[in-house]
Amino acid sequence: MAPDTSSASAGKKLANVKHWQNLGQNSQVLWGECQGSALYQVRVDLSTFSIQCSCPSRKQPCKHGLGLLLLVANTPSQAPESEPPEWIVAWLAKRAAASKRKETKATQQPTGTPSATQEKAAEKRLAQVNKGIERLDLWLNDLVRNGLGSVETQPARFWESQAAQMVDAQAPGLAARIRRMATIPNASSDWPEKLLCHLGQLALLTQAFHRLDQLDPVLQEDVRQLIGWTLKEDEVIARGERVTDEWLILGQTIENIDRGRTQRTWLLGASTRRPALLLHFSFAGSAFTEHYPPGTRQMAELVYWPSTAPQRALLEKRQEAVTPLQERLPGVDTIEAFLADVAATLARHPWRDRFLCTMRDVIPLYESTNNQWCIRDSTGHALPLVKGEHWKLLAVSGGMPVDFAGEWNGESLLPLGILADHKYYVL
Amino acid sequence: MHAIVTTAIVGTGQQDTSAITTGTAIDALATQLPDDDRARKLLLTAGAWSVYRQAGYVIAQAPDAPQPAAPETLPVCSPEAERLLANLLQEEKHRALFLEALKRLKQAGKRLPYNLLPQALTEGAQSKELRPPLALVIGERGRWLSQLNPAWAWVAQFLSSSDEALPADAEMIWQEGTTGQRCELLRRLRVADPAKAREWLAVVWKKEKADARADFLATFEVSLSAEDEPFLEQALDDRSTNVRTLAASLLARIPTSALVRRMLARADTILTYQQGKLTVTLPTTLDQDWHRDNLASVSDKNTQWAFIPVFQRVLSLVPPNHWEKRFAATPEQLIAAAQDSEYKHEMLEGWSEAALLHNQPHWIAPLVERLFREPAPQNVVLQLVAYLPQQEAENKVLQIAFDDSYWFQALAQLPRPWSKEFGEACLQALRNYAQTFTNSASYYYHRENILELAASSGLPLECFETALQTWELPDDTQNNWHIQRWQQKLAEFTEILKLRKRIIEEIV
Repeated sequence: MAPDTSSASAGKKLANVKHWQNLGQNSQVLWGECQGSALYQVRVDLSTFSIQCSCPSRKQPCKHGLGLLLLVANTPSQAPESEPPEWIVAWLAKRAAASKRKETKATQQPTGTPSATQEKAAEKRLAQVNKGIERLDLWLNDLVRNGLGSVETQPARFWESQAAQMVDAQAPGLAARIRRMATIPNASSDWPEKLLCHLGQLALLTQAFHRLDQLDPVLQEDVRQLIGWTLKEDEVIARGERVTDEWLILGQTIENIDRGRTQRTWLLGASTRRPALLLHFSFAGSAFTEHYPPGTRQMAELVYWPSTAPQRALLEKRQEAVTPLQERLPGVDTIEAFLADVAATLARHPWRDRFLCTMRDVIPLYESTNNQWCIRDSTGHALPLVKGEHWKLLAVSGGMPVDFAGEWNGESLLPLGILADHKYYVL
Repeated sequence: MHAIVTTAIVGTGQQDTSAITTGTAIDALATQLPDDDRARKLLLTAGAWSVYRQAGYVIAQAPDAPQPAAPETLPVCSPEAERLLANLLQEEKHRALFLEALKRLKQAGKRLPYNLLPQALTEGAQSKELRPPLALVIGERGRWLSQLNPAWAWVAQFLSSSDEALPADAEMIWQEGTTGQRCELLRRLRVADPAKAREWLAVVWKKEKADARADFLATFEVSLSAEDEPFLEQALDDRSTNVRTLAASLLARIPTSALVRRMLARADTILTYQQGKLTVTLPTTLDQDWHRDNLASVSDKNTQWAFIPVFQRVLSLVPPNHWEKRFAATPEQLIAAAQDSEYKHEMLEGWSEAALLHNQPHWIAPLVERLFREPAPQNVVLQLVAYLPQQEAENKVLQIAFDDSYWFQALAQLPRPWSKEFGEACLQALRNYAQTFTNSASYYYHRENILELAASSGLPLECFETALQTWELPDDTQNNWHIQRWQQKLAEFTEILKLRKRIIEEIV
C-alpha cells in the first residue's frame, strides 16, 4: 500500500503502541491519535482501506496511517472495539452526506439526448478514428506484402511512430497493441509466427470496426473499447451489469506503463464463480487511491463494463469489512475444463488475451533438467508457468495438491496465489 | 513451419502464388475472403488462425510428480516470529541477529514457515556460518525443496536430526552420504562404539581424498583412547601434511602413546631447570624420526633458525603438567623463570598451545596473567581467555584499560552473552567515553565496534533497560563531528537492541 519504501519503513517504525493513544475500532472504522510533531488524528475506513490523517504530508497514504494499520495487523488487541470519539462520528456523518450527494447527482444525471456540442465532438472523433484505421490497414498490408523478414532489423522507432499516429487518431487501444508488437521480433525462435498472429488479430479488429453496424450491440461496445473509446465510471455504473457476491481477491500485478503504473486486481465471485478484473492507474508516482488486499474476501456489489464476455469491473459498494481467505477456492478441477472455459470466452470475445485461472488440486512442479515450471492436474495434464523462478510456490505446496489462482495469457500461467493448509499465500 | 507463416516472412508481394494455408479448419473459412487483396486475406486468415489455436490449445502431458515432502515433525513458529524472521532476512546488516533468531528457533523446537524457505536457503548458500543452525530449522519441507535446486545443495551436508542418536539408515549414509553427513555419523558412532567407527573408516581410508581423510580423522577427538593409537600411528605416514599434523596432535593427547614418549625424550634433552633458571639446548641435527613426527619438514636446513620453531612445536605437544613433575615446580614458578630466557616468547606460546591442547586450566590462568602484562600480547592469549571460566575471563578483560585498542579483540573472545555485571561495566565505560568528545581528541573507530558487539550479542537481556536509557552526550555547540557520528551509531545500537529483545521475547 505504501507509496514508496521510505514511507513503508517510517510506517513500520510508527507501528509501536508507544506512539499512539485513544486507539479503537468498530465494524466500519479504525482510529487512533499519533504523537508526531503534533497530535495527528488518523482514521481508516475498514471496507476500502482508505486512510485519512490530519497531518500535512502530501503522501497518500501517510506514514501515520500505515503505522496504524501495521500496528493493528500485528496486535489487533491494541485497538479495542469501542464507541467512536466525536471526531470519528463527525467524519462518518460527513462521508455519509457526501456519498448521498453523489447518489442523488447520479440519479439526477440527464439521461436525455447529449448536447449539440457533445455530438459534434463525437462525430469529429469518429472521423479521426476512421482516417487512422484507414492508414493502419495500409501499413499492415505493406508489412505482409514486403514480408515479416524485413522487420527484424527495424528499430523501436518503426513501431513507436505507428503507435503515435494511432494516439493522434484518438485510438489509444490500437496504439497499445502496436507497442506490444515491438517486443516480439527476435525475442523467441518462433517470433515471425507470433508477430503474424498479433498482426492478424489487429486486422480482425479493424475489420470488425469497418462493419460495426452489422455486429451485435454488445460486441459493438467491446470493439469500441478495444479501439480506445473509454467509458466513464458513471456510465459503467449506469449501464453495466451488477453482481452482488462475496468477492475473493486472488491477486494483484503492477505494471509500469510510460508515465505511470497499472494495477490489475483479479477477483472471483464465491457463489457466482465469475471472474472480474479491476484496473487502476496511477500517474507520476502517485499512490493508488483504493486498496484491495490480495488474500482476502469481501461482500460487495460489482459492476461490469458492458461486454460479450464481461471481465473488467469496478467495485461500487463494498459492504462489509474484508476477512482473510481460508476456505477452498471455487475453481475448476481440470486443465481441460479451464481451457474449455477459455475457448467459450474466445468464441464470444476473440481478442481477450488475459484469463483468470482458478483450479483445484493441482501440483506445482519443477523439472530442473530442462528448467521447466508447470502445474499438473489430477488427470496428469500440465500447463506451463511463465518464465522465471517460482520457488515460493514450490515451498508452500511441497509436491502436494493445492488450490491455485493464476493469470493465463494464452501461453503460460502467472501464479497469483495458492491455498494450502487453510491459508492463502499471495505469490 | 506452416505455409502461411512462410508466406508472411517472404511477403505476399514476392511470390504471388504462394499458399495462405494453415492446415486447419480455418482454411475452408478463408476461401470466402476475396482473392484480389492477398495481403489483407493473409492478415485476416492469420487473425482467425490465431484465435482458433488459442481456443484449441493442445494440452501437454505433465512430467511425473515427484515424491511429495514428508510430514513435518516440528511445529511452525508463531505468526509474530514469522514477521520478525522475514524482517531480519530482508536486511543484510542484521545477519548476526538472524543467526541468533535461528538458534532460538531451534531451542524452542520450532521450524521456519514454508514461504521463508527459498530466501533462507539462498542465504545459507551465501553464508557458511548460517548453515548449521539453518539446517536444523528448515524442516522436512526445506530438505525436500533443497534437493530441487543445485544452489541449495549445501543442505545435504547435514544430517536431518540434531539429536545424538545414530540414524536408522546409518550404514547407507556412510556408503552414500556427503562428507559432512559421514563426519557427523562417525562422531556419533564414536560415542557409542569407537571400535566400529575405526573399522568403518579403515575400510575406506585409502580411497578417500586428503580433505576427507583430515575431516574424518578430526572425529577421533570424540572418546579418544589408547585403542586409537595404531590407527593414528599409521596416519603419521600419510601423504597429506594436514592429516599428519592432526594425527600428531591427537597422539600427543594419548598419555601412553609412543609419540608422547618420543616427545618427552626430546623435550627433556632440550629444556632443563636448575635453581630457578630454565636453560634451552637446541638440537643440533634433525633426523628422520623428527621429520616423521611432523616437527620439521625435510626441506628445513640444519640451522639454528630452523631449530627454534621445532623447539616450540615440541613444547606445544608435551602435556604441561609433565614439567611440574619433572622440575618439581609450580606453573607460576616456571612461567616466571621463562621471563629471563632468550626463548621467552617460544616458551610461553608453546606452553599456551599445550595448555589448550591438553586442557589444563591450572596452566591457563597463570599464562593469561603473565601474557596480559606483555606490551603486545599475541593472539594465543586471547584464545586462552576464552577457555577460562566466564567470570574469570571477564575479570581479566576488565583489567585491560578501556582506552587500549586491544580491548575490543579481548572482548570479542569472551563467551556471549556477557554476565550482567560485565555488561554494566562495559556500558559504563562506553557512557564515560561518550562524555569526553571534544573536537581536539582523536576518534577511535574500535569503540564503535564495541558498541555494535554489545548490542548484537554481548549484552544480556538484564542490561537492555540500562542500555536503552538516554545517553548523555556533551552539548553539540560546535557542530562536533564525533558527537554526530556517535549519535548515529547510538541509533543503530538502539535499533539492534530492540530487535534482539523481540527475538528473545517472540521466538519461544
